[in-house]
Amino acid sequence: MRTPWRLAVRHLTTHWVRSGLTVTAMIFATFLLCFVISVVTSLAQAVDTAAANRLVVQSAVSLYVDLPLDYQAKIASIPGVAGSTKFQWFGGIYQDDSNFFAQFGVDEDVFFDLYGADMHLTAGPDGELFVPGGATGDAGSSRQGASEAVVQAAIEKAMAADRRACVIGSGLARDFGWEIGDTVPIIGRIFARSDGTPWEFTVVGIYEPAKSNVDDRTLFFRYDYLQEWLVEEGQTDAFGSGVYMVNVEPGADPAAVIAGIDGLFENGPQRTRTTTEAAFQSLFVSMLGNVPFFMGTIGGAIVIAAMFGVINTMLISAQQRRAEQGILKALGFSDGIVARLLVGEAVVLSLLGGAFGLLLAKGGEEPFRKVMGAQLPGYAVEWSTVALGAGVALLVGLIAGLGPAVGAMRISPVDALRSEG
Amino acid sequence: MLPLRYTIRSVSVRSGSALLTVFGIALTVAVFGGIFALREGFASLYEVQGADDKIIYLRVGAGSEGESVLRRSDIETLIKERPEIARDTDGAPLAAAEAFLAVYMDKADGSGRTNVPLRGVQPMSIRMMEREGSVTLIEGRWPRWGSDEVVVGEPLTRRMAGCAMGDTITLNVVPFRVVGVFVHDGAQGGEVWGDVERMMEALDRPVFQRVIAQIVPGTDVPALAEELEQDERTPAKVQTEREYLAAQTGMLGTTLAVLASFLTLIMGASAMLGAMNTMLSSVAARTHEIGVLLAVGYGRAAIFFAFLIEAALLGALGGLLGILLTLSFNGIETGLTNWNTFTDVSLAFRVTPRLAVSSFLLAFGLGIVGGTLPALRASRMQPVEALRSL
Repeated sequence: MRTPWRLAVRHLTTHWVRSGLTVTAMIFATFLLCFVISVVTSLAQAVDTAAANRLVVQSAVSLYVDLPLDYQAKIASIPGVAGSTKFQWFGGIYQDDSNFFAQFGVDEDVFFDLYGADMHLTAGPDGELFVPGGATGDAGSSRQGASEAVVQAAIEKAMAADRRACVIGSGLARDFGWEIGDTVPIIGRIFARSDGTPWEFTVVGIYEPAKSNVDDRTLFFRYDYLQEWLVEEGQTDAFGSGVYMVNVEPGADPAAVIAGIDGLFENGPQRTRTTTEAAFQSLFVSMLGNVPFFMGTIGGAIVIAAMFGVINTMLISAQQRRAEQGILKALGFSDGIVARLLVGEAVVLSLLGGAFGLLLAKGGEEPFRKVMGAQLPGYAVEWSTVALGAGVALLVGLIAGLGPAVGAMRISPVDALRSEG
Repeated sequence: MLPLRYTIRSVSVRSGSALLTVFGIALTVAVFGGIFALREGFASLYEVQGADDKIIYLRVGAGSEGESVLRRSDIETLIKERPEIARDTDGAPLAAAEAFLAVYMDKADGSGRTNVPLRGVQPMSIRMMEREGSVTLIEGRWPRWGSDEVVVGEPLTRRMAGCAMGDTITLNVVPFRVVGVFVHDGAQGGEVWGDVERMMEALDRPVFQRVIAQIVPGTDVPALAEELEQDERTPAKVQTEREYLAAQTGMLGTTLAVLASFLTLIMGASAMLGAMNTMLSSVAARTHEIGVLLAVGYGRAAIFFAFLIEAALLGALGGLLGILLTLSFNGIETGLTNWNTFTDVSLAFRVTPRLAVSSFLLAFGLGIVGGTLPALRASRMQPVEALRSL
């Protein structure tokens, strides 16, 4: 005997209020589940995409201890080191604390050699390029569609020509409306100017991350501009770089290079701890402490709460249908078919809710990134998360349908017919 | 008015459905309560603590200790010459210069490294805290001044590797021995303290980060702050300890509150829909009964309230269960990174009476909101039609 699926559809549409409430609750649950999982995966995902041939040299003691400037030349002497740049955390603020983003002082002459592959440099929305000492965009239209190499060369030239030059991420350009040629005022915190005025950087290029572990809200400026100011202020003891980024020559063994660098500074003055870029980034994940665990617990609570909701609906639905189940059985429909109807109904409800919830989660990815970009750079709803959400929705439906279904199978047709409903 | 017994009976008849609704509400309350308990635990370290009669001097423009740099000449001028600094009976200024650095430590559970706050202190730092009773040494002794010794905050002995009595913490190339364990009831409970001079030498970092001082009663701190900001010789940023600590909580506190509100809003909506579902089915199953009640002369208001009370009861039960769930992790210790200072904070979930009350109100509200529509539907039934249904 065929399963009368139309009956299930009729039930769902007749009790549309109940179905609607359940589907809505499932939408919320699936959306939230995807959200909490995505927060965790986004935090962890930076680690997976880190460059394998890039090493990070930092103090073994603290993230906040700067390494002396003469370390750079010593690092360069280690066999297998292809190049290195300073990476000095600036820690400035644009207008207000809530606009937090990272700024780094780098060696502009090697920076693009090391990072060129991580970012697509763009010449602004109109194809304009910064021309040192002149107006911007004068050759705009002709430069449109210029190859990346040409753009990079032009930006490198502009960086070299102006000590206040900087390159910004597309996220900053989007959030603050900065364009090529703009002067960006940054209030120094660690490097606070004694007269209280902000630092000024000139935007000569905008980059779009080419890899998901590159933040699109970072400002890179010339280290020597910072150094010059430190000299003026008489703070030459503040010379240093928190981190040196080192590229390993193709074919060289990173482990040997790491051992070489750390061995060099074994006895101070500042001991170093060299790691791969991946290990460096996983450090920040480890600093989050128990956040992934909390998120997992919350995700579990959400799923269980949603499951209770669907089970509840199915219980109510089954209860009101005792008489009908009796009729079905009396007509000769097997227990299996009666059960299948209930399970099918539950699965349709939870899958429907799940589908909308997943759509919402995936569709909300971009807006969420815009709002929370500063707190959670690289927020992304992975397809594996979407698949997981769909699996959970299916499971919730199956479990929720099973209880009432077993009850319906057990009940004798006579008892069922007798019950009101 | 219908007797309350009627409502209770009606809930127990549909106990399965009622129980599921109660659980749904309870889980929502537990998530809400859990995140806010974490926030309360964090706030109890920072917002509530901190004295108004102690001030902190930082470098002008610095947002926190980590960003501040004070030279030896600066701190000497400040401590010796500032008139607002109180003095003890011997005439010694109640002020101390401290160095602060977040250092890497391995977590005891093997889940990687984190930033632990290291504080170089002076004898007066500890004397001031002992004076106000905020610190207690529970094991060992204070470090001997001038030697490579440290004391650690009690939570660190459990949460970080190599932080127990007798262990050695190596700073750069200098080993420091752990000679004592202290309990501090504020934000400094998870720190490592040692002689500031020894630490500066070991770290090759000859600068201080802050001066902390007891002030003369009646000092006008805002005026002082304005004056020192402009000072020619030793410009400094001045805040009371309470203001300073409050300023260090912004990011994490806000993030937790936003997260809790966001999750509660959506989970709450979901739980409310569940309550509505249960109540709608309760109303539908009792249509005949409602007809009888109306026929024997019960008013519409009585019926409305009977169902609303039923929904409120579900909410209240969910609330109580949720609070029980939340209480089960009260006091559990954990670590979070304070994003203002970017250092690890040892804190515990704290379920305060105020939090319990607001959790309960949340659950109660979810029940009421979910029950209003079904109750309205019940109260609007026509007696004749309702009686007809079976």
